[in-house]
Amino acid sequence: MTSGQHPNPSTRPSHFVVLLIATFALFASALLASMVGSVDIPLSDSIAIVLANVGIQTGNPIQSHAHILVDIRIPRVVAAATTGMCLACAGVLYQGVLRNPLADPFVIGASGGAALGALLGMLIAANRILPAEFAITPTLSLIGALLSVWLAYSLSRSRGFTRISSLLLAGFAIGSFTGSLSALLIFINNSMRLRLVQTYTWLLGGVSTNDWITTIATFSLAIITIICSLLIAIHLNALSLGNNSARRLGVDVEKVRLVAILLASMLTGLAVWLSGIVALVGLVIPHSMRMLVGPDHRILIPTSALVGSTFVVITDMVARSAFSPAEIPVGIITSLIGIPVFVLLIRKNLHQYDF
Amino acid sequence: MTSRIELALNQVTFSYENHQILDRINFALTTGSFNSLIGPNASGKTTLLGCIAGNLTPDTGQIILSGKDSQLRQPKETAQLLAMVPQQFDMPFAFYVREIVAMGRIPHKRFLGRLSQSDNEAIDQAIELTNLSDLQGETLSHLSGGEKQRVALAIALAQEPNVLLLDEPTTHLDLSSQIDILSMVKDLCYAKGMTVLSVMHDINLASRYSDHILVLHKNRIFHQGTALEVIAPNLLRDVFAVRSEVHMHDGYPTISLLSSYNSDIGTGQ
Repeated sequence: MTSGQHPNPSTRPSHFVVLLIATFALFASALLASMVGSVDIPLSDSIAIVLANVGIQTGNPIQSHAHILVDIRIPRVVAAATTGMCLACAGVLYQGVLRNPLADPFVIGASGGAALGALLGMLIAANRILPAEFAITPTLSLIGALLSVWLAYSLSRSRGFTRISSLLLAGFAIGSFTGSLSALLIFINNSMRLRLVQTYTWLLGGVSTNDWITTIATFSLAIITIICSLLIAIHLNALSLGNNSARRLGVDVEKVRLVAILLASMLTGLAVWLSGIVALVGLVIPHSMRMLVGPDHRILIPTSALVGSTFVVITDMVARSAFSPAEIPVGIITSLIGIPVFVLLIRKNLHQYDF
Repeated sequence: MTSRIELALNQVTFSYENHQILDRINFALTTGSFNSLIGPNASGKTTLLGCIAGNLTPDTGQIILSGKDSQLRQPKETAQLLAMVPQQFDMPFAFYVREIVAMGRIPHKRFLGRLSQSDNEAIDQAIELTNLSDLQGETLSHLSGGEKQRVALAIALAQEPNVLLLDEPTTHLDLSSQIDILSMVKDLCYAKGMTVLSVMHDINLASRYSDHILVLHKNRIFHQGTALEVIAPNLLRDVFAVRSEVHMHDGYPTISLLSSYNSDIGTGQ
């Protein structure tokens, strides 16, 4: 008998259609976010400027618009998109490997650790302790994320088993501790204290605007990391059955867990370095995408990456235009949306799990 | 039935934190046979299955699976030959039953795990054999204990293994489901030449369905043979500390428990 004769799981939409719509939504939101801000740039100008930059002259856009679009808006939109895809994908990976739908980079303390690492990196870079080529800030951001996850996981693990409540408490403890250390670092360091508003804006989830090389490099690194995550997607599915069952299906459980945590921490480190602590994107997006496309990591990873990007691009656009000319960090908006979802998830999981 | 040996254990020893759990275990199971493993609580039955399944590594000894030492096989290769149904399993995410059963094909798949025609056929067959056709679009949280047990069995069947290990497959099932599942597994032994080793609590069910019974007691194989050879009042007294009567019913030795030697409390019979 072939599978066609059976009622296959059919209430989920076609993967192709979902990916197509999500890609379209990302491009549409990116275009909109490039136009909207303290100075609105009309669509015709935006298109003309972008085309002019690839060598096709179609109109005569205002020069200041060209500068805002090419040097400020587009790099920022790309940074927001990169942040969103990194966090959403990191959420999927942490949740898959810890078999826990509440594991988000923020909740388990990874973002806090990454932020502390990034701050240390900024301090080292500002004092020129190491040559600039060392990229010390993103490196320490990644190490901070890794160390925090390792700590949260080790603290909450008892007799080979991780309780959800223990993991959340350990994540809360580490997040608070690294948060306090970050604050301490900012206040005892003269240069950071002088730039208190900028530093705190970044820390609370302020998307940074970088030069084009950094923008392209971070975006490419995120894409490569997400493609690597796709290679272990089928094994993450098997891990949902439990470690012993996955092992009996021939999965190298220890290797998959290590790779997944490394990739997720790398994505968290990258996102935090770009945009500080943009909380709960890694929780809200994978959770809603699981409801839409199901828990299969082969489709969940790319869909979450695309929708996570769109989500942060739009929330960042709101963050910089809603209270214009004042600009608020996007992390504040994602928290305002994410915390109610998080609380609802805990309520739902109270019935499902033995807290 | 052929008399080829599908699974053999040779002097297998396992200890945990200086506490010996398995002591020089030896036995051989023929292809297409239904074998039961019985013994009192904490006699090491689940540990023994864990060693055979590759979740635990024995301290010494060999486990020969389909003619080759399983320690010399890659985990993926072992998973193509051997499957295990655990006592219970749960899923943190809402996979559909069909998607869960499809995970049984992971040992047979390569890059990104796209399902081939033969994969789909194996999944269909596993779903049909375990009577899950109407439930394949459901998530695990909507299923009863017995239905979940059938899903666990379906994953193992989708692996198309030569050897199937079952850890107390009837624990969560009502009486009719117990008979249904054991009859189904027994049919698979004959129809597909699958070799089954099942941990059993119910001696009467073990007697009825087994070609061969292994008795694990005090970390060793205490006795083994056919139901007629193994199930006797003396053995039940020595291993389970119960006073019992054994009589033949429908051609199988069947036990009636009279009392426990441990508690002096009779069953009232």
